[in-house]
Amino acid sequence: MEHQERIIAFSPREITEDEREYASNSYLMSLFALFVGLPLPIFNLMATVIFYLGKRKSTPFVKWHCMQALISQLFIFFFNTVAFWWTITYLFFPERFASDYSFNSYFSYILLVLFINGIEIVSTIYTAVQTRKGIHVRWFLFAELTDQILGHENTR
Amino acid sequence: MKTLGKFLFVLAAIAAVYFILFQVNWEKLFKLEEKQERLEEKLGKLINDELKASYGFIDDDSSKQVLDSIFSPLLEANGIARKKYKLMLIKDSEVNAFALPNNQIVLTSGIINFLDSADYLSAVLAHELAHCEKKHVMKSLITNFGLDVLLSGSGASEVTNFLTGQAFSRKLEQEADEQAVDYLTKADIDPKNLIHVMELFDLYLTGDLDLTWASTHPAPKDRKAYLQQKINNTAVEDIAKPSLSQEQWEKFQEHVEKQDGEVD
Ligand SMILES: [Zn+2]
Repeated sequence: MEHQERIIAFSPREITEDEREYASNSYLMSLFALFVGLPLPIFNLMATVIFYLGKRKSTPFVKWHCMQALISQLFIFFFNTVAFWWTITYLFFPERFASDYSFNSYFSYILLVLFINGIEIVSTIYTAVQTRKGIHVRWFLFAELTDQILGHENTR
Repeated sequence: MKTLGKFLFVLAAIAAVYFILFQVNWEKLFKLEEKQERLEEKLGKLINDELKASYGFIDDDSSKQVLDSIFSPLLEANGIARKKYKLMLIKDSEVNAFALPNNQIVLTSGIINFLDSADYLSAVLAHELAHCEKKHVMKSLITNFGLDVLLSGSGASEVTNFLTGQAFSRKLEQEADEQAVDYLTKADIDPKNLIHVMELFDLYLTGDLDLTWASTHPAPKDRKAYLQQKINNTAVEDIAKPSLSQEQWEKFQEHVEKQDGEVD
């Protein structure tokens, strides 16, 4: 339970209006980047990194949420990149997909990626709305990663 | 450790979702299969024309009837519509049998003369039927020529050559042989006939007969070995009497030989 101590507890009353807006924006930014970057996934990762760097000097609440958005982008980036290049191969070498097996592996993967992106989009919108109200939203796994990356700086 | 556990959980969940998605036959869902079927039909006709241009066909009523009496029971017992298949006999001294796109099976007069009984022919037909039912023909055509070449309709003679001297991969041949055992068993024909056919091919392998069917397939000895194993694992119940008596078979062989000599 040692990580428990590092978890940052934010209470809505302590969060200023500006902070709420910045934190919420980090999710809107990542959502926007996700749509723009869908054809070439590296763009959405880059956009989120740039946004994070811009808010580096900000308050813990804003920084924390930028980081959570960034980590989830990084995670999804790997899946989207594979999907992207697989699709490129499909377009240029359609004969490789003649067998049921290879078409099925490709198509199942694309559905999987759409599914993951869908979850990402829904949770991003939800989190953007909540952080706008100053409510702290912790995502499964990514919140803990965020704590571990930022935790010790914030508890200081 | 807690984070690592969650991370592994997420990965496992993603893998599980992928596995479930993979169980669905998306290709079928997307009617791609329908496209392939149309291509198969087109190719079948094209190759059929090629064959007609280079070989004489034995298609008199009595030959048709005899072949049908051997082929139909095999299809019926396995729930395959007779209408789905076309069985042809061509004048060719090569001992050969091969499957063509669009559910067509071709036998040569050579193989009719070579095989000693109607049941042996059933065994060969069961093997070729398996190639068709398992879609081996289209699969290997696509891997060999590519979908684009096939769709363009060019290279009909290359495709015909490929199919008459048909060399499927060893894996597909074994699959066809094993499926043939099931087909024969269902039709109450002793699957050992397939082994006898292998023995027959093995016996004449060094002779001066043109055993194309043996040269395009794995060595008869190897096939015999895995066939024996498959038959041992198959419950063979009652064996029906041959669809054609030995006398009738030999009469048919004579008939084919006579037709073979005739010039169209
Ligand atoms: Zn074969």
